[in-house]
Amino acid sequence: MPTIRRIGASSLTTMVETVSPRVAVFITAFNEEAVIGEVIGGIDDAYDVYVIDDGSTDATADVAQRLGASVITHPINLGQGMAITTAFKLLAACAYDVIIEMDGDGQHDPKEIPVFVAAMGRTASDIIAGSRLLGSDYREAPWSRRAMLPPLSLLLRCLTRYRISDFMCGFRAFRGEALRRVAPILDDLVESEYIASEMWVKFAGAGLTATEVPVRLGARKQGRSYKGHALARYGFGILRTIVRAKLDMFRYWRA
Amino acid sequence: MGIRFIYVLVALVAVAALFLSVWLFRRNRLSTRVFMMWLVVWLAMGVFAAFPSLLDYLMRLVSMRDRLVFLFMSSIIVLFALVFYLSAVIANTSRRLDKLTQQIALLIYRLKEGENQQTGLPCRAPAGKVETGKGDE
Repeated sequence: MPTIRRIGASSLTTMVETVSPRVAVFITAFNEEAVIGEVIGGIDDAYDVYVIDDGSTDATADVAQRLGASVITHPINLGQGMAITTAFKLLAACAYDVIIEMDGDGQHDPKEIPVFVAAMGRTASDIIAGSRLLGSDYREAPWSRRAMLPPLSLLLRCLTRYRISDFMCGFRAFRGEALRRVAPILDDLVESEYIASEMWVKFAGAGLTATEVPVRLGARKQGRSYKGHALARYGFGILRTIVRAKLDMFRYWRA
Repeated sequence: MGIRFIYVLVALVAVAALFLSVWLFRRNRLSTRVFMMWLVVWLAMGVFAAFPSLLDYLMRLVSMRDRLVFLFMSSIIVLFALVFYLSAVIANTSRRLDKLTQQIALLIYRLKEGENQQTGLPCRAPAGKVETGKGDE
């Protein structure tokens, strides 16, 4: 298990204490009863697991609860963006050193979580982003995503100055202290459907640092993606979100 | 069917709608703002139906000659304004509903965690204040 060194100074001596980071993993899920068990089962017992059940109509919450995860259930379906901010609201108030975000559809491999924790201990970055482009063959992704990802990533790279190849990957790690700092900015999402773009713009505005690690993109185990596949709608939605998030940050700075 | 009949029909519809609005308002089914808005619409409709010459005066003000075209144009402008207002209200209500749902989810979770503590089961979240939103206007 990777460790984080906490250094504290007293008047007489300088103490160096080595402790294991307290890690929370949150999984957003909507009607994933068939795969959520496999995802939770693959996570190391050392990590606290939270499942944000986004108003599922199947037994997703029951399965997660049976496997020992803490389950927060939206009474109605709000979309993945709102599920992520629910997790932020809860976990930003908790004393976690590292907070990992992953999807509940089985496309992210829980065995890769230690890679994020290790990267967090190794670097001073506030965010570790998973990159599907670096770690896997992205040719199996929907063509609309493959077409839109490079130009949108380029745009976000220019706007945020982050040297990241895959801004849209939902497998990320946040330093707890950094998340606590930006939680108020993330409270008011302008377009929760395209949260990834908005988050990055706001993280850059708040001065958070980020690096990336390669991750594998597994095949979806069941069901379908609830995100739009229409090229124009997806691209326009992200562009709209980027512009509004930028404007929102100006408003935030002025306040 | 003469034009006079249409004026009478419009006036009757305006009066009926006016009474319906008052009835809904008195039963708290319409907010004051919405009631006032519709009150103005129905009153204007009734007045123009009762005194069509007022329309001619307004038409001259905006340099229009056809009464029908003027009515259509003004109706479309009013309807657009109404759609814009309602879409803004819906967007705001939707945003508030999202936040309310999040707060309910977090409160239920906290209640469950409290129950777990009483039964001696481990509580995963360390003690701390859960931020449930700034609250809306």
